[in-house]
Amino acid sequence: MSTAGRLTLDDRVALETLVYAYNVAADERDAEGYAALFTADGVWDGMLGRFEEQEGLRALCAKIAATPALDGTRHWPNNIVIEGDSVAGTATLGLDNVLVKALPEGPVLFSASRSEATAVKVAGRWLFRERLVTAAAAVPSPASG
Amino acid sequence: MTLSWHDKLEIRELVARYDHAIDSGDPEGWAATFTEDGSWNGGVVVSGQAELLAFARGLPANPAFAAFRPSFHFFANVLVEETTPGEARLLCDNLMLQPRAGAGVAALTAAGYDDIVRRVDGRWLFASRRWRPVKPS
Repeated sequence: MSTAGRLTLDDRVALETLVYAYNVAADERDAEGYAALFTADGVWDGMLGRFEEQEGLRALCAKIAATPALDGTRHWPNNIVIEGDSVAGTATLGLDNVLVKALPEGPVLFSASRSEATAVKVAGRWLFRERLVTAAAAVPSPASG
Repeated sequence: MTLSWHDKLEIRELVARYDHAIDSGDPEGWAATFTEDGSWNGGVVVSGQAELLAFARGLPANPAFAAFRPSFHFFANVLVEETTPGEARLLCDNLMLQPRAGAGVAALTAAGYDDIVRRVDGRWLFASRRWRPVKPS
């Protein structure tokens, strides 16, 4: 079967694994591992600002680690849609993430966001080229009226 | 003939497309996840592309769904079993989540879906979706 204009099963699985590796690296505050999931000119743009290239991406991971509100949080992804072309080595990804935060009284669902990303295959590895993250719309909490 | 892994992945992504379309306020995208004669049963039954699209377009003003704005679907436990060539039964669970400003994310409902999906012109679509809320015993 021709794979022109579509992803092979191996590439589809590799891209989904890239999503999981991103979440693990971010949750482990592994700046080197996190940045290595992006291309050299990779970009992350979202609630924490815009971060470019490997040095900037390592700085993003350091910023996450230095943000007390994000202490003890882990990503739980969902609604992953991946499209792309294995021959061209390009892909787009869309997904939601819920951040689960560990608290002494038990885990809570802390926040939610939407990610839209592009990825490219470089030397046989899929990497993020750009990842845009937006916070999910929220209703006012009862406490804030 | 059993479903290929490509088929199973495409069916799982169909659920994700459905979720993202309804959560992002895209009625055309939501209706497009159904077959021409597709139906949705979430307490009310909506059948056919015209009704599905009208229903989705009317959601922002529908008081029965006001408590769910904004919210998003979070699915798990996808099981797909081919019933006849080109058609399959799809079971999955779903949490309806709602972010609260400064107060985390609340779970509004827990439910299962019992669906029929059909391959039309090479694409998997919902022939029917039935929402089954989890009720306390």
